[in-house]
Amino acid sequence: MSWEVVLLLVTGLLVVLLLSGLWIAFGLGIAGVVVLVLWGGPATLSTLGPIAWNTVESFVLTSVPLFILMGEVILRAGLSDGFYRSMGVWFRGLRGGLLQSNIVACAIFAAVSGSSVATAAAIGTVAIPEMIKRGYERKILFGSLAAGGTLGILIPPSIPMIIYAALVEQSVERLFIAGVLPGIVMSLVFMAYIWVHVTLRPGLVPTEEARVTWAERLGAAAGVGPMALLILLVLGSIWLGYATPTEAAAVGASAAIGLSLLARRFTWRVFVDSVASTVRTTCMVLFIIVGAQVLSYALVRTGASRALTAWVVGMGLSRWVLFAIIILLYVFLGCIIDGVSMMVLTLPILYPIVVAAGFDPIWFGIVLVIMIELGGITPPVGLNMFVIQGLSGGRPMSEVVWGSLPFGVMMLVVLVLISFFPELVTWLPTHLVRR
Amino acid sequence: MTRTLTTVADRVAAVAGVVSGAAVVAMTALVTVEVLSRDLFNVSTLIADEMSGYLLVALTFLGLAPTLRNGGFIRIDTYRARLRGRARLALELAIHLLAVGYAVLLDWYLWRLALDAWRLGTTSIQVSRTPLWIPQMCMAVGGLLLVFDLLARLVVVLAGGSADGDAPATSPEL
Repeated sequence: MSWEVVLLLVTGLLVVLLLSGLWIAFGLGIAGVVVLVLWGGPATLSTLGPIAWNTVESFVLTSVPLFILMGEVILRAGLSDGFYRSMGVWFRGLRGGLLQSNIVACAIFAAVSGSSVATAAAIGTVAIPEMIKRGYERKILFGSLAAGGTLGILIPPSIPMIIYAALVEQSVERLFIAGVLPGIVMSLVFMAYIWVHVTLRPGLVPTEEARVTWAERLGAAAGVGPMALLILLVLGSIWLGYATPTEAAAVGASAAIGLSLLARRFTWRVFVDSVASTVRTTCMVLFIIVGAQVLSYALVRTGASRALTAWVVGMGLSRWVLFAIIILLYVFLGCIIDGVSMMVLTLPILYPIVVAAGFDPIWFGIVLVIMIELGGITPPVGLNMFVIQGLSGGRPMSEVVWGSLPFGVMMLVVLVLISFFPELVTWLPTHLVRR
Repeated sequence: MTRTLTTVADRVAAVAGVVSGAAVVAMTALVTVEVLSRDLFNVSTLIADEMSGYLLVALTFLGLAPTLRNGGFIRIDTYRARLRGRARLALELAIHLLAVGYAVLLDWYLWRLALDAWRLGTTSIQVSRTPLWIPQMCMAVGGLLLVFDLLARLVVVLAGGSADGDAPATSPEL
């Protein structure tokens, strides 16, 4: 088979298999198996065993269940509840009131969570009932939480960054640290949007948000304690080189359990639910990666991957035209497929092209994470929107979709920013990684 | 009959889930102990990196059946959810046949990998010299449980039932 036929076959197979409602992990693997059999006969399948083994037997990927466990324990034991109230007291004085607190709370929760869905759920659970009661307009409320939640994967730790690092053999530490400044910029852009929007339409926010006194602010500081401790422990130990991300994740999970025990909130129920949920999410993600590695092997083995790279490079497109095409592709894919699947599905084909075009692998990793964030809030398949709608008490999905849209535009603004100023991504890792 | 089968499949998945969960706990404890003993007492267990990799393998593959049973695998449900009657049945059959095929094929080669390691006595290159058939057998067994679970679902679908009336459209976790 020529490489054009291979690529057409793979694309066609994936469209049919994935849209049919087959589980994505299986769909990716089946597409790979079909190509391998048609190209080299059944004998080529003997690599399935080693592919599965080499993919999953990985110390780097071990951090995936550990970070998930940490987030689950924090969420289910309610370690973040007091923290949200503190954020409310501190930031509701800003124009936009508790909407601003939502963004800050999401950004800070993101520093202990590697998942955007967990972040949206953690903050949304507390924020939505409270803010609807106070009379906040629902669309911008839902949008701020769905979009704020996606900060969970841009601000380290980040499950998609770990997977990216494992697949393209980059350093998890460098990616984590590279996400810090874009994460802060993204939070500020969200807050600026809320500020402008509420200035133009003050009716969206209840007026009676009272002045906050300094005594109240100090009184609320205690609620931040457990979260601050966990952030220092996890990010601090990675930053200073005391621990690898996997080790920091284990320490973080143990510390979260310890803090919950101290707060007398670590019940048997919390333990069982956290572990069960960790198993489910880890299996789902890792089996997708196994399927994607089978497909990736098929694309490399048939030479389709290399031939496509050569063809694209041979077209002599300017690198920014190429970049724009890739972004459009991701916007489209982000609408119909979840973020991790989108990443593992496209990397075997796009990564060689991106590197050949001279883009920095760490920088591109951050771009990809932002595209996954956008995918989390674009219909019909936007996982964060599902979460927020699930917490909204039966409001229609359209309110979440329209509320999230402007925040999606803001994500693209940040993408433009880091394209013009790539130092936002690359400066911290080159200056601060110790090892 | 399908009810008994579903009960059996539920139990099997529950047991596998407990083992998989135990791997999560063991992994957390192992790596935490390694960091503490290394940073505080300058003593390394020497095996934490390697063992946690094996635990991840066990956790992932033994967790496949419970994850499937609990609707944990993500799928695009926009079109499937709209179909009714015979069209839906046909689609469910196709999905399950494809999934069974992939699982059987994958598991076949997982068994071959594990049995080869057993026969040749392959060990890891780390200090522990762990015989590789042990973690690889976890993969093979987990794959087998997945095949069983898919077959049980297939029978339920053939009998006209819904294989996942309970499962949500998308996983809420990630």
